[in-house]
Amino acid sequence: MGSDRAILLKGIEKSYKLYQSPMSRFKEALHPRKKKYCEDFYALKGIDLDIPRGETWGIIGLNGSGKSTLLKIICGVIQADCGSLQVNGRIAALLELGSGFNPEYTGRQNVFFSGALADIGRAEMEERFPEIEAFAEIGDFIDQPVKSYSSGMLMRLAFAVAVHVSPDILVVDEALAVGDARFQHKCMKKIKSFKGHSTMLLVTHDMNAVLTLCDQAVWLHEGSMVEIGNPKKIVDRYTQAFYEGGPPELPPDLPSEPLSESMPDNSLPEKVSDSEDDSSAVQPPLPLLENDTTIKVEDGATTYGAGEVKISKVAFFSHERGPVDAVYGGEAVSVHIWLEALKEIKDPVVGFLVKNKLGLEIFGFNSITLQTEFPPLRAGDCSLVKFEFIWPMIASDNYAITIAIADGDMEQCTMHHMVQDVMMVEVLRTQEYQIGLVSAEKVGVDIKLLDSGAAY
Amino acid sequence: MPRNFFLDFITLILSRRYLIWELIKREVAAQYIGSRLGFIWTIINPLVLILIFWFVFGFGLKAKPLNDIPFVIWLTAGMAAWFNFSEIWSRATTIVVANPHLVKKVRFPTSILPVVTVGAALVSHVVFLGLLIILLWSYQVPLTFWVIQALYYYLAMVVLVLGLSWLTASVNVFFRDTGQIVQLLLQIGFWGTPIFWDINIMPPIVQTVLKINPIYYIVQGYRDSFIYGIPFWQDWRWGLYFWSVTALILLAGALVFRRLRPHFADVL
Repeated sequence: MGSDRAILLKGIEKSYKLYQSPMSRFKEALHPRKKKYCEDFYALKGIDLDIPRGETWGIIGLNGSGKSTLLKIICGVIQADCGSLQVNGRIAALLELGSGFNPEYTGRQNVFFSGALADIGRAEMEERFPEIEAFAEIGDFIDQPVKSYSSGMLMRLAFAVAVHVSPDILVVDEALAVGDARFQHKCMKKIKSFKGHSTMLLVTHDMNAVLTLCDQAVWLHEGSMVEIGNPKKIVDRYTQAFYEGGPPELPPDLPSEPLSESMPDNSLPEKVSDSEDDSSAVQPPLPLLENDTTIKVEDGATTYGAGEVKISKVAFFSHERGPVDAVYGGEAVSVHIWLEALKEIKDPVVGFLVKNKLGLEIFGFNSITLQTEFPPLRAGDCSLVKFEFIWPMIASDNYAITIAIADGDMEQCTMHHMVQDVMMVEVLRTQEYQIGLVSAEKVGVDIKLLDSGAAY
Repeated sequence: MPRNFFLDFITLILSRRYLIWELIKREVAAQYIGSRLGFIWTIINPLVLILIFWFVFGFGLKAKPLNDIPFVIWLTAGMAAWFNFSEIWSRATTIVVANPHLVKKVRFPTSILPVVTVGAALVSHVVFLGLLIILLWSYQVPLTFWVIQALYYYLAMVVLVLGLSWLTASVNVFFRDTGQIVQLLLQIGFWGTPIFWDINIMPPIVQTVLKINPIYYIVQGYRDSFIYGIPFWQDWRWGLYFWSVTALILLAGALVFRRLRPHFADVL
């Protein structure tokens, strides 16, 4: 196990054969000349992964994209049709929590049996048992049959076992999303403690987990790998594609923006001369609030959408200090957004979102959540949307602002123009020490001496 | 190809003996889970059966002794082999289907499952043989060192039943009817094998035909070991026949199991 590589996959393919009946599957398996009796459904189409020892990778993708199939192949539960698989080290899998448990047996018996399955002898399990018991926190239930457990207890015990068999490779399939908040937090802490020395593979729909835990993210779509890379980048592209209703056809090294007519510039221009699609709206009759700090929006890698209505400019103000790019928590601010409709938009929705450096969504709102009437836009209309609000007491850091315009409602809408990270806002420090992402406001403290310890 | 299967299989059994042991314990315990008497049932069931034999054939039907051996002893010796065989085969046929969580959810070597059945069935077999020895002692039939030879016949039976179990257990995943078919075959086999009746009452040609059944080799072998003290090489031609048939079944079982195993997780 001197290798620095934990998992190596090459050209892994898995097809599920759709048979008319089990009979045809049986005949095919035993047919001397391997006659085909089925139609193939490809769950994985040639996956290559090379995961170095000690790294944490996240796998994201829509339902049915092959994430779980991939994990099952890595764990050796199912076999790939072709391709090579090399796994160095002991794998502990949280595929489906408690799946190896027998409901008739007590928690204790199941823990030892799980050890046997993972090829850990009785003596070694004996040693680890107190830790597992303590982590699971199920008390006397440890000696009750597992069938009497609540699902939360079952999950806790299963998780405790999986993380205490000291795996070289820990595979977690969406298991993070269960349990109460406190236990989730504990699991997260445990998982974080694996970071660095164990290799981890997470499948999750929780983008925040990917952003905060993973070194690399893998995006799967319909059994193919769309992209591998920095979690922030992949999560951005993935969410972007999600709004567009599917990933780009091509591996998105190119800006994944089929609708962008203007130059594919990756950086956000501070101020750019009007390009041809801007020219129709170059003089909106709203210059009042526009000034040097107003940001004109150019299409590029960070923008996408159907483009029937576009965001042309964005400005950010402090009510007291004027245009700013740094604010204090509690400061009254406004955001102005200029829109140009190229076609008729029936139910326009304008949204505003603030994310931190990791891409974690901190707060946001849109014209629906604010219950604002937004009249339909006609082709050629230019509008100005002003949001006024008190900047929340969030940790001092740099934040990115994303603005979007869509057509529809919260359930179903067409994204017309989303501009990711249109500007950076620095939140300035107002307290010397701050604990957590958000500060409480108007905190009162009252300390009273109830009984003096002094005897006199 | 099959050579690798067997080699891998033997290393698997050796390296995962702790897991196999744990599984056997579960399998044995599972039969009595929730019952008050628990393990005692393992003794009660064969004891009652043998008492019935003794009563029915000893008192009721007044069955004649065979070569000076009380019928009940002769019957029990053959029955011990047959019961063990039928218990293993019928259980092992459904063992893959009965453990979907092991097949689908965790990394698990399914080929050891029939071994688990063999191990679990050994408990009741040992009890049965213990009762047989008590019976021999009470009828004052001398116990010779040929008893040790029963081990050879036991192992022969295990090899045969492993081949059969791989075959039926894997096919049963696709066709659940297999379990029923095996039950049917065991019914026929019980009466078709000279367990309740002496093969010597048949004309010589029929005797030869009956000996084609490989289980007869085991059943007769148990009687030879426990009662008559006849060495297994005395009838070496039938021994050779048995091992050829068994090797064929084992090979077929391993081949089919190996081919079908990758599909288990998908079908279950």
